[in-house]
Amino acid sequence: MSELSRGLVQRAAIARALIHDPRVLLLDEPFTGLDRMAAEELRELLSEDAAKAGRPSW
Amino acid sequence: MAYAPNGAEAMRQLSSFEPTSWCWICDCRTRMESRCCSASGKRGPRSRSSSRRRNVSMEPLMDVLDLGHSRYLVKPYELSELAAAIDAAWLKDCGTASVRSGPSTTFRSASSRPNACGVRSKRRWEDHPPQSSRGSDSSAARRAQVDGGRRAIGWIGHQPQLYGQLTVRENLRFWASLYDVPESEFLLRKDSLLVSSRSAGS
Repeated sequence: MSELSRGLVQRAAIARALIHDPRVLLLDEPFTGLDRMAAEELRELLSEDAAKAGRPSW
Repeated sequence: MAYAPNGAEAMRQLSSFEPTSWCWICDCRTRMESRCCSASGKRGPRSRSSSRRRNVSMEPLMDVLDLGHSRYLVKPYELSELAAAIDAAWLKDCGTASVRSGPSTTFRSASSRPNACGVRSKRRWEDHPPQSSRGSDSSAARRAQVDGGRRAIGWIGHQPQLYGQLTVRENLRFWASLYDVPESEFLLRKDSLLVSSRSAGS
């Protein structure tokens, strides 16, 4: 885990937050410290998840 | 000292509040048309569409947390305070049912900082602590409410909240155990989450 890049760790954090299939997802600047490309990828990942699961993200 | 507006005051603030005209970049508490950072040559305020993208929808959250009218009074950086309130007060120990009938969260407007929702919550919590259900017949049902309330919220913050000594799978298993996710459900969800996050990174 400690050998992973910041982007990969943040992806793991997203998986961690979704592991219990929450009804609502709260995001507090989740892209802090990421470069623009990584942030955009994660944004898309979260958008896809929100659309697929019908889960509001805030 | 009043830590939060009462219902009438909150409704008055809500009726006069224009969230899309607020400067969220410099946090200068001024309307973007007048003395905001854009006028002084700093970065300009976010656009209306950007603000909307950031706040997708609060309706389900209001349903869970009984935030009521506060949806227009909460700014993004107050999320950490919101999470602290959730963790400290109702959701952790009371569950969803008690959230609806218990103390309500009333956020102050952005112009009246500091946000004291935590203080108010803490005081209410101290004044009216929840009745313990240990040993009662309804303890199992209450436990189910607690678990349901806790599982309703997912949280992603600045920190990944993962243990560096563990692998990603071990971290996921650990968090799944915290939420009492059944093993079969965990295995199913873990694979799909890892695959989707990996494909997003490739």
